Amino acid sequence: MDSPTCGQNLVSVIIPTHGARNAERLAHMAKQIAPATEVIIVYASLCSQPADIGCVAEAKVVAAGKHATASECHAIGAQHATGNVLLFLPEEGIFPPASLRKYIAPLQRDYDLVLSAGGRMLTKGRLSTVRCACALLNDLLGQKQLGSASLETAPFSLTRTALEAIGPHKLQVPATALVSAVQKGLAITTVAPVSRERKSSAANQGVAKAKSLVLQEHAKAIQLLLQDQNVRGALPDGERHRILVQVPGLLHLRSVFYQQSREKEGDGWGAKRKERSKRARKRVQSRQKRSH
Amino acid sequence: MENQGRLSIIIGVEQDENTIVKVLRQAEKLCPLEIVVVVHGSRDRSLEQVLTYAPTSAMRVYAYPYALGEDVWRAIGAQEAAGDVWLFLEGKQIIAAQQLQPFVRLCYRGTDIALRQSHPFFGRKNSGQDSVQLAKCFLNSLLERGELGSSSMDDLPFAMTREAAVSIGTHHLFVPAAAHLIALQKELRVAHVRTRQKRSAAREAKAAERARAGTKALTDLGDHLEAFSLWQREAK
Repeated sequence: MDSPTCGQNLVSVIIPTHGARNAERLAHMAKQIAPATEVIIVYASLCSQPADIGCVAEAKVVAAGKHATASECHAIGAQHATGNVLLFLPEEGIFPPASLRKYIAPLQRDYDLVLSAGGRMLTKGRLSTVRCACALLNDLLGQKQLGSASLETAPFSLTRTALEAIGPHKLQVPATALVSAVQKGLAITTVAPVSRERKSSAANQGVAKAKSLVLQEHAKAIQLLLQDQNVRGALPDGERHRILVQVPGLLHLRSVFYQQSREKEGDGWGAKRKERSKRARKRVQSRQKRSH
Repeated sequence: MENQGRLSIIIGVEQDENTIVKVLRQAEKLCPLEIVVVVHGSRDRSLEQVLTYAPTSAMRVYAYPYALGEDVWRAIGAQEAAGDVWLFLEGKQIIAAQQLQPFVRLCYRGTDIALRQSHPFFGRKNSGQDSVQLAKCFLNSLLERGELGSSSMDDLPFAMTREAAVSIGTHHLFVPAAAHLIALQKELRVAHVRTRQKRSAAREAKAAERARAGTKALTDLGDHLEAFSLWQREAK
């Protein structure tokens, strides 16, 4: 166990991974982020065998379930972290170490949680449904300035106080974790996202979460937000007389007007005006002449 | 004309004395079976304009001396409509008949609900700042219909078949987001129609959007939250 003084400066870097190929490189990169760094590598497909777990130098290696998502790996890593600052990286995230320091600096000021700023809603003409969901949740949380930033997108960092306020296990559902963070009054900010040195290949996408799952989690987070309010989140109902659609029209205190079409209008209700024949018209004309 | 024996046009009217006659004229050009006008809470000459209008199609006017509340006229009009396909219009929104016909035509060709196509984030500086548009996109993507963008039953005009309305429940039509959710949950065939807007119409739409920043936007957002609650209840 680290001493409290050491813990105050210690940065825990949590990296989820699906394969062991880059473990050494990831650990080496993470070590350079801060002077005192604790590296936690969470393997999503590793069985907890001591021989495998001890294979990465200078890093704590933790096993997660075979089908664990990146968020679940983050939650597991957070439970093992001892540092006062926790930095969460995406799967196989190889970044220039200096670029990650901007996630730590705001935490040394007044912030509790630093997120990567979300991108545009439209990329190459296609709408990003996940960003849309994140932006909606932030809007509903009254954090419009966060845009589409979310705990779903690593890198992000938080203080130990923030972690304890949210609860480490809650990080496995990032959308609900963000709701908890806002409800607990944590100070949240965003920084421009950093670009990776190397993009992860399709083979390394093992811990990536299905889009539909992310959307469902956001819908649940919205429900969590509404749990102390009514189903409409205490928003106005447009002064609707809802009862009216359940009672027959006769009881509506309304007037009903039936207007027949012009073609049918004539000498009486529903009657059709007959067109006068040529002979009839001539007869009328001759009668008129005679009267003159 | 394919509309004559099948189409009911349902129009909601409130304070629309300047536009309602033009809207009725465009509606009549479609030669519908009937026009159902629901006038409610009108304090201007809207009702007078409707009653003095001489229609070429059969027209029924339901006049309420009080405001029914947001979108309740849709459910009331639907309860009274006799056609196989219903086209919903607003008294304040003048849309040319040739732009309305594609909605109805889609319904004749097997679509259950024909919506107005909407892509809110194209070419906008502050993209994604409108919570209602975000909620519409989210609702569509949650039900795996992301391709609909932010098209919704919340936006008029839209057309639907009688069967679709019965399947949703006509009483749900007054909360458009909830009706939209039920339609997608029941896997009804929902499609969208691209409408061309004139510059002036686009300007009007923008102005209306700005005005929506008030209570209407909050009501729409509340409707979507109600729909999400409904989704959650069904999911359980």
